[in-house]
Amino acid sequence: MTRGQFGSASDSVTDRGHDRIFSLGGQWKPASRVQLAADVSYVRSDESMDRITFNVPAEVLAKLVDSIYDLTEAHTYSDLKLARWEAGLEATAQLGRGVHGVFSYRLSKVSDDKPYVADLSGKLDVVQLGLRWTL
Amino acid sequence: MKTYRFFASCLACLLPAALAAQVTGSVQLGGHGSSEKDNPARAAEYSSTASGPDAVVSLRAYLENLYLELESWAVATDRQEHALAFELGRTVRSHTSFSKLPHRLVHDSLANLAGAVSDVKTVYATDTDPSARYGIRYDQFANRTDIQLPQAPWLVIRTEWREQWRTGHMQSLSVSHCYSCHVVSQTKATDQHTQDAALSARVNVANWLFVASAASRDFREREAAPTRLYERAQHPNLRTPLFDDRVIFDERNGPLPYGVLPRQEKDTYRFSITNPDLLGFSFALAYATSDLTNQHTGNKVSYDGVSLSMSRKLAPRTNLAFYARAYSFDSSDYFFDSPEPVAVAGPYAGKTYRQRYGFDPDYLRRSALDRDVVEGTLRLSHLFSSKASLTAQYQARQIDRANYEVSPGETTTLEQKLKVGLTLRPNARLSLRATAAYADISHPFMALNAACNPDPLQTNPAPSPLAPGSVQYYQIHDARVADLTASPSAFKELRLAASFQANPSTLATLTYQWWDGDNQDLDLTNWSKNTQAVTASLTWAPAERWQLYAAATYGERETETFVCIPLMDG
Repeated sequence: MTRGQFGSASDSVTDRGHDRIFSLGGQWKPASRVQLAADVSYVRSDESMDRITFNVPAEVLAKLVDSIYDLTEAHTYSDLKLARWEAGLEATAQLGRGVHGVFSYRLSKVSDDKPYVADLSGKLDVVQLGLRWTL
Repeated sequence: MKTYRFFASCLACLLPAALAAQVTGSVQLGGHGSSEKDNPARAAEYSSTASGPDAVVSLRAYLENLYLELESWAVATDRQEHALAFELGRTVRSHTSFSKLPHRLVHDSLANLAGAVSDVKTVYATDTDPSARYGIRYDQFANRTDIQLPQAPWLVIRTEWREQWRTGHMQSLSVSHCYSCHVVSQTKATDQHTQDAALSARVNVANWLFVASAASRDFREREAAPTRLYERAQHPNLRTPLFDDRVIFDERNGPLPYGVLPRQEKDTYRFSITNPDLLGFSFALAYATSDLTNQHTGNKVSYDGVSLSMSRKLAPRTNLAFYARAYSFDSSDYFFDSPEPVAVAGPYAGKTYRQRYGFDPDYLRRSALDRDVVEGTLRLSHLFSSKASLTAQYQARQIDRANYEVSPGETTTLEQKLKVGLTLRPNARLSLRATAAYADISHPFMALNAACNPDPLQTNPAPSPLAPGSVQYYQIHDARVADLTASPSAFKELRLAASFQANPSTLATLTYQWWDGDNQDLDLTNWSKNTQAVTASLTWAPAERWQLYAAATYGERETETFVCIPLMDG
């Protein structure tokens, strides 16, 4: 139900997004009993929308006493800017006949520069150490 | 508990074999420490954040007529992968797996509901558990066993069994109307169980292969749905119950469940015939039918589909392939008989909304997904020489919807796509590929008359929304004239790829893809989309002990769409 209905307001808007992904990795065997592996990747994505502009005549706005129809900041709700780092290091060393020592480190880091439903910034580090027996 | 049972079964199978036979493989024991910071919902979305012991086992045992293989990877109680496979002669082949995976879920703070407005009156939110961290644990058990008796080597019987559990807590939202939109967030416990069972038979006679299968799925949510005591509809300023005739449920109905997941059952039957050389053609014909039933309402979705695939050499360097498929979806209709409460106050006390305004809120729900689809692909490829080949492909798909119009009086969409691909290998080091495509879509999917009513419906403001002559929301809804879509009526596509082997240890690749589409069939609005991406990669192994790789991708996308809102005071 309304107290007044004055047609509609419209605009054509453009949404733009960009992705950048970079990854680097490798394996190195510095000695016959030692093997190293490392990798790193970086992903950055952003999204933004044009400002919505409604050309509502002044006489109509004057009649819309309970509504301001100000959507000049609405486009900012769609702003997204997220970056993610993934990095890992693995080392394997032969300690004896059929016995290897294993070490690994893994990093996951997310940076949320334009939080929307929640701030997704966070980090996880995992260090692992073990012994492997080959039968 | 499921993990321990699975481990016990694996060890019970493997221990006798280990004692009696040659066992190879490796066993790794260790420990790990984890630390998390801030919000782990994305950084550790599918990872365990627990510290403790871990184990990796990879064992194979060979006996005279028995082969056993165990792969096990256990990092934490919520992150594990186990698999046990065995072969008993050539008669029984079996593979069993069990996995556990956490999935962290985002907790919506609901702060975005306020948008950029500092003093929000019409939308507000309450989070009843603001510090909760949401997530589910995903467990899956699967077994596949093939039986092939020596007396009938042409027949393979396969049984498949899969169980999946999704347990944990997630955020559930509900909204009540209408003195304001009050969004309430609650923590909802979930315990979903999916069980799949299938039986199939493969018969291989001469060049013919016949496969028939029957599968059944059962899905249940074993936790109760959350409930909400919806507020009484009130006038936004007066806070009096003037809108009782406009809202079909409120606090007078008591707590009501929402987000209900009904029990579902799905039965699927498949049959296929293949022959690699039927009058010079490779031939494959398949038929599938399924019924998905909502056990709560009895509503059903049926699927029937048949496909035919054929190909043959037209000449020593020319190949022709053809693929066609026809399928249909058919769903139950559902009649919604709306409650029609009467107004308890105001000028229309004692009357329903229908009695006051003549609006009938009842409707017959008929699925927009019901359709008959016919699609086909014809591909011709020719090898000019060892250095060049050309492929031309025509694809068409006709979608005839049973209950949904995509243009006035028209329910059928016809998609046609022509694609040409060229592959060149000018020398042993360089390889080039280019593919270009153009598609034309007649009557693409869109929502007809879904936005905008340019002509005013009520230019002289009424003293009250309840006063005679006040325009109703359903009248604004019915007055919309503009079409909306997110589907193109035509698009172009280009893909380029090059790879260069600089030397035996260095390989470089470069790819580029571009897609550009728009919809010219809309009446008052416009929609277009453009995407492009470029990727470069380099692999380098300068020495036997060194191996390096690097890759970079840049992508961009742009979508132009239409925004339209009614101008009203309500």
